Amino acid sequence: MYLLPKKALKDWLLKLASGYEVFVPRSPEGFGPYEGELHLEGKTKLSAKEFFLPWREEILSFEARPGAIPSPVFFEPQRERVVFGVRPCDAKGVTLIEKVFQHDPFFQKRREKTLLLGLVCREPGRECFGWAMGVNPFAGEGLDALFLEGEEGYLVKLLTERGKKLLEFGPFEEAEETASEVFRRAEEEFLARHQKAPALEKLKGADLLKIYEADFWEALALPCLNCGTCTFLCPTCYCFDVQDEVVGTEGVRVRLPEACMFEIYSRHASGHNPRRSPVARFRNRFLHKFKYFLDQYGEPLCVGCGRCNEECPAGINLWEVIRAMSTV
Amino acid sequence: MVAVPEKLDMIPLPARIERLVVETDDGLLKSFYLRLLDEEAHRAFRHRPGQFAMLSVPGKGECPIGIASSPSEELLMFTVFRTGLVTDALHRLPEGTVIGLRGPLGNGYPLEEFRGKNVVLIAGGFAVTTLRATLVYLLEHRDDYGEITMIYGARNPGLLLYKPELEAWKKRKDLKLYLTIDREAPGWDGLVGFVPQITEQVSPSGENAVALVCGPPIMIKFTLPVLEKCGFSPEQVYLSLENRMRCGLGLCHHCNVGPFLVCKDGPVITLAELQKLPPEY
Repeated sequence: MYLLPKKALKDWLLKLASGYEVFVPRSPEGFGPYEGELHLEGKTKLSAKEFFLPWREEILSFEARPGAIPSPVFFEPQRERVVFGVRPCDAKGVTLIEKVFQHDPFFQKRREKTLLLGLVCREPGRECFGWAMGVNPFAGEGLDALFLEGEEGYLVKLLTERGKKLLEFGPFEEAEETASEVFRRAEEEFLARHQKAPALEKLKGADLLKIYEADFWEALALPCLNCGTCTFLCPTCYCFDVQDEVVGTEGVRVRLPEACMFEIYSRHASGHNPRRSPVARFRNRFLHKFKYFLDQYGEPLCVGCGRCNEECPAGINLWEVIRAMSTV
Repeated sequence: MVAVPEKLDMIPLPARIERLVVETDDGLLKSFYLRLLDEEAHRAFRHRPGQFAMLSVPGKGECPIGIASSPSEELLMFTVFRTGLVTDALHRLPEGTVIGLRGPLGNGYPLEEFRGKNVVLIAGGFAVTTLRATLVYLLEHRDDYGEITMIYGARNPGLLLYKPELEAWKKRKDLKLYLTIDREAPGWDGLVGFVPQITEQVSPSGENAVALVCGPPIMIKFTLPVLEKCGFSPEQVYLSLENRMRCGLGLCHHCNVGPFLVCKDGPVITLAELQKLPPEY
């Protein structure tokens, strides 16, 4: 366990930039390269998901004419990246996505090249419910180091070998022996007050078709605009689209985040659409998170960050859906 | 330039169109006979009937198409219905053009498990493609299987695919082939009627048998009760699903039917498995 004095944080981040590309939460909106600004109050609107499933992943480049033979494109960051200020729930989200993308070279290359440094939230945000989804913010899942803000500075737990290398860049002090105790007590107190939602266990055992056919879906989905805001902000939604983009005579094939809320998501070339109705798409999203993924991996595809609840323009609350699903 | 990992599953291999065959009178179905440019890759390409591949045209995109050739055939064959952006672009290409091919993808039919059994193939319209691959395979391994029956229907004679082969198959004593069209047509002296009706007339026995059904949803809907009447349990009936998909690798999630990913867990699925899933196909 180490201690980083609060005043030393910015210096350390600057020094890190000599060895790494350094990203931090720069504003309430999201992450960016560290240039002095640092926004550590509460989580950012966009999670750290974009470092692994970016807004554009080029996979192929080609001359835009029939018969052209494309060349593979593979992004490899020149330097390792350090993302500081990641919320433990968002890091947990990356580990959930990794369960699906473990053999995807694009995701894995980014994972290999990116260190995630977590920051335990001092207080849960108004809409947070990570613990209900089984996320322990002190466990450090998906992280290389975990920072806990204390009176004198940040208590730092280094969780991986590559995390330990970061010591070289900063005025870290060996924390006093009582520091581990402070950390442990904070964790215990948190876990004593926050439990996993019993709904998850009920959903695991539940009959899929019964939930699917339940009559509450229509009423719950009625306000949904199918705008996809929840999917783009979600730190665990991983669906992507593949598009060929052509400018002049040059083209690239890109992977882009996609939303299962959109009608075109499941529309066949013939026009047939197995999830034509907005209700069907709404239902699919929640079944994926709280039934399909839960059944397959034992955990829900949700880390309880609450962004969907905060940002939904129609005021849809995920808990109303979970409650309905778990009482079928 | 960075080193590209050897295994990039989303990168298509270049394949040359060696031969084109317009299959139907309306010109909407065309067969593409392909050879991978890399000889080694071409030789190493191993698929099983029922699998599919992504075909791509740079600038237009990719689309999943069932592999219509049997693994033993020299060229990879795909019969493509002209219906969307990519298939339209494919249809415009002349022989000799290089396109992209990514695959084989999906599970395919468990043909080893069918050994010793009677196999009934039921096809409607251009969904016959992967059953053509299957039939060619079965005939190549004829002694491993019991009776082989194929019921294949199209709206009219001009829409039947693979006509020269159909003629050759008709003459075989070890294959029961029933070709049918929806309505009487000049020059047609074969069966007339929808696939479910003909299946009922043929009445294949479900004893020690499997049925592989590919066709439009309406055909499947009315064929399944007939098969049930013939004694086929849901475990003995194999279907092949189609859904919009992007990656074909179980990542992008477009093609999910409940927890079942058509690209990775399918496209072949037994009726028994399908009955446990939400009807999103």
